Amino acid sequence: MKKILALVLAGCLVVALMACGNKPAETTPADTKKEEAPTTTELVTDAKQEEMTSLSEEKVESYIMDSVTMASAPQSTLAPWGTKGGGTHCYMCYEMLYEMDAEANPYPILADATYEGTMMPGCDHEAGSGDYFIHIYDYIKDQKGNDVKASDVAYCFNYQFENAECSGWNDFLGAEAVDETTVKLSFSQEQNKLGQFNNVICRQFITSEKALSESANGFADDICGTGPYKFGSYTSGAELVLDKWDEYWQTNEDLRPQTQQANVKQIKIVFQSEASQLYLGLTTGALDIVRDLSADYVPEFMDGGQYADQFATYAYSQKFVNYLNPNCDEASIMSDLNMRLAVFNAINLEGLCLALGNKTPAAAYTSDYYSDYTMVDWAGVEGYNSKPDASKVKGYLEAAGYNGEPVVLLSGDSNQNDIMVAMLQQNGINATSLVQDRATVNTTLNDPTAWDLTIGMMAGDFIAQVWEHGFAQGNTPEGDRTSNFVRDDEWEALLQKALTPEGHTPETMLAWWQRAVDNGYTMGLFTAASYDIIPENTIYVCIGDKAMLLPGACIYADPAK
Amino acid sequence: MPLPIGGGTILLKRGRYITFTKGLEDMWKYVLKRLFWLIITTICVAILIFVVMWFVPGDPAQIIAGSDASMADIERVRAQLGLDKPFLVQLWDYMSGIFFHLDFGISYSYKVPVIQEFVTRLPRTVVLGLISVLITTCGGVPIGIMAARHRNTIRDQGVLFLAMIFISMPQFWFAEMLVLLFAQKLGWLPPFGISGDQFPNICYWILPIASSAISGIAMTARQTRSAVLETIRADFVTTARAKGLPERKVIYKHMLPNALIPVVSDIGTHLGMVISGSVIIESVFAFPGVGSYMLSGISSRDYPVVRGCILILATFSAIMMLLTDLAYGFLDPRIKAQYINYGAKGGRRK
Repeated sequence: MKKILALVLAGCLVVALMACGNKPAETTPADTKKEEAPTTTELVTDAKQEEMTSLSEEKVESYIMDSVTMASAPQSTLAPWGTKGGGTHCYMCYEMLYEMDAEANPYPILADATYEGTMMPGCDHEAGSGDYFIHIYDYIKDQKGNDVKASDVAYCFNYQFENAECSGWNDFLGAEAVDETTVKLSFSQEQNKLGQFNNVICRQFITSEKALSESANGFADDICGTGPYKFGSYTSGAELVLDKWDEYWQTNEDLRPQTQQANVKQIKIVFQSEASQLYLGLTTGALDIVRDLSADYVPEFMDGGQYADQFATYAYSQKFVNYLNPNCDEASIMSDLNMRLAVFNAINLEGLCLALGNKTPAAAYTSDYYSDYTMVDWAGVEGYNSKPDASKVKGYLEAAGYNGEPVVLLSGDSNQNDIMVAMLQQNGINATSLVQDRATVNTTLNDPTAWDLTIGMMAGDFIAQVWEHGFAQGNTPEGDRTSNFVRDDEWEALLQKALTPEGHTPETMLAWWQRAVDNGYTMGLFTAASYDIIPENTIYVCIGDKAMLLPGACIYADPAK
Repeated sequence: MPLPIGGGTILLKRGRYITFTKGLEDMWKYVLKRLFWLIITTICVAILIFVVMWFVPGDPAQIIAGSDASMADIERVRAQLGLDKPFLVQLWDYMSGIFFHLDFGISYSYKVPVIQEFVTRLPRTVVLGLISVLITTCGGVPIGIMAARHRNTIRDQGVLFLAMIFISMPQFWFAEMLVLLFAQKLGWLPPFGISGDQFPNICYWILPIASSAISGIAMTARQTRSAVLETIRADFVTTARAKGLPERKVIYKHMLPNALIPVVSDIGTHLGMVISGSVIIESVFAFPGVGSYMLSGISSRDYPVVRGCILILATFSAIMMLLTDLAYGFLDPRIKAQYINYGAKGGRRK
């Protein structure tokens, strides 16, 4: 009996394994919907998106929703400190002096928009000086009723600089209150590089010194800001509840931008990142909003899908640009330019994007997400980013004298690694995959003997900043090389020039990329499109700084109508 | 006149009274010795985990500062976290903090004391774990006994078949199937979370407990079945039946205490893992427990979290092992005699 049972179970296992490998190639309705999903380029210029933008500018009155439940990646802390930004709740409960719009231009929130500063509304600055004077409103209050004055603003700046991770604040000397509504930010030199000053004023949440001093852990498990939402309840690792703050300090609606609106009475943020659970949460009514839903599930929420009557889909380009970097150190086989060019010409970007799903091939190490993308016709630049060329690969391998030495591809994503290794192997390159967790990858990258190629992604506020984050020589321990061991002072000089307002020109941008292509320093791979699932009665989706979806600031129609 | 003494033992002679109290005294010596070794074990685990985390690749300062941070930013973060100090200084700070001040440090990413966050999450994990163990025991033991009593029948084969399936089944897959059925198809239970407006709070615990307990029931049933089969043909069982005792009394009073030793061992192991939680269950159901806390600490190289959690878990597991060993003594007087002997002879066996 046992033998028969064992044989039956073994047979079931074999059949199950065979069935898994024999998926039919016919098109299913879900596949059809995937193919019909608009491309990233179409989404950016979609007429509906323009209509949505105009709705916001007209300040169309929204239906006030009772509650919205939104999924979010697990947050380890509620603290808003550090230039990396924090979670969605930070942008609903806290405010900054300025926030950035989609074009990366700062607009005043706590800074006095009615004050005509010499630099911009609310800000005085003398050219060549390292001092900046920000003027704030004199009626700002935090959610515990404390007045927020210039001294509180200065306190927050100094607190963050001393206690948190402030990337790019190397020149910051300190902040001090000049009077009750004027705060002076001092730097060792003028902050005139692209996005440099924005990285300070638009990366600092403000609260009162009193509330911050009283917090035992810098608001790690509590919230007290000046934003339109206040702290409701928090269960670490589970959920955060925010309530609309009815006594929001900015009562002048003309000075209150769309991002500071509160069209939902209660927002519940559930910390869940499992794709299947997010899908189940939407279908069971446990969730109303899910950001960046897995592409496998999106068709069910689009037109014609099973849940299209309950939800709408908002598609947008992510700001991350994925790249493939060769190790240019002498210890690596990739130090040979011919090897680098062989690898880059072996990569089929279209195929890669198709295999990964929901990706758009990058014309260069750029993305149309950024406002300075249109400065150059990237697709027209000749190079390996256009199409794979097997004959070129063969030629470059011969020129390099390649004899089948192993080429190690390092990253944190096994899926991407496997596909790219297969592509390289098809072209006669003996590629092997090395997949590690993120923390280990960052350490391994500093060892030039451990890897030959790496896949990563980077973002910024401008394309030039994306390049800086990925390739500035100052971001490495030695300071004389890039993260992929490129030692090219001329390339670095072009990058630094592109980061200045006067140097941020099509010519400089093109020169930097052309030098990268000529020397095989890097290859842009793809950008990703994301799909947010939102309530069906949403008529305007408000996306704030850092591409944060602000459910409270969205405009809703009456669901009963 | 016979005097009742705790445990139902009756004094018959003065000598036996002295023997009884001497036995208790030696038993306490055994327990105290085990507790002493528990402290030594805890210290060794603390040092070991510190050393292991020291050598694990990955720089927490770089993770916190971000991949695009400059070296100056990373060094500043490293200084803030105290990671720029020499190895021995960091080790001393860590050991003295734990053993003299019960301070496990402040989490790099959570920014709250490790012990505070741990204590907040612990009750949920303990409740989840204890209820799972209780269901495992109350379900698995009777099923195992039933299977053993009806050996080689349909009932026995059915139990074995189902046990094999549930042991082999991946826990996360089973959890997803339960969610699909009860949350999506039937709408009876919530898909994840620990509280909400749609359902009473207790409903949020049902699926995580069910997912966690099912494989335990299967394993306990198989373990019990094997143990009972070993004793079912023993002479004392035949004698008990020959005396005309009811079958229920034969099983539960005579057979089970002898068969339970390996089962108690199994349950003790489960209890030891109660507060470590199930990372898989906690991830699937967004259950904020100790397991997910530890996992987040490992992935972000949050040294205080990893060290603190592992140390607490190791200590708890050691205490559970001690309690399990004492339970053996309660079940089997021969084992108890060994403990007493061990305690009496200063740790040396006779």
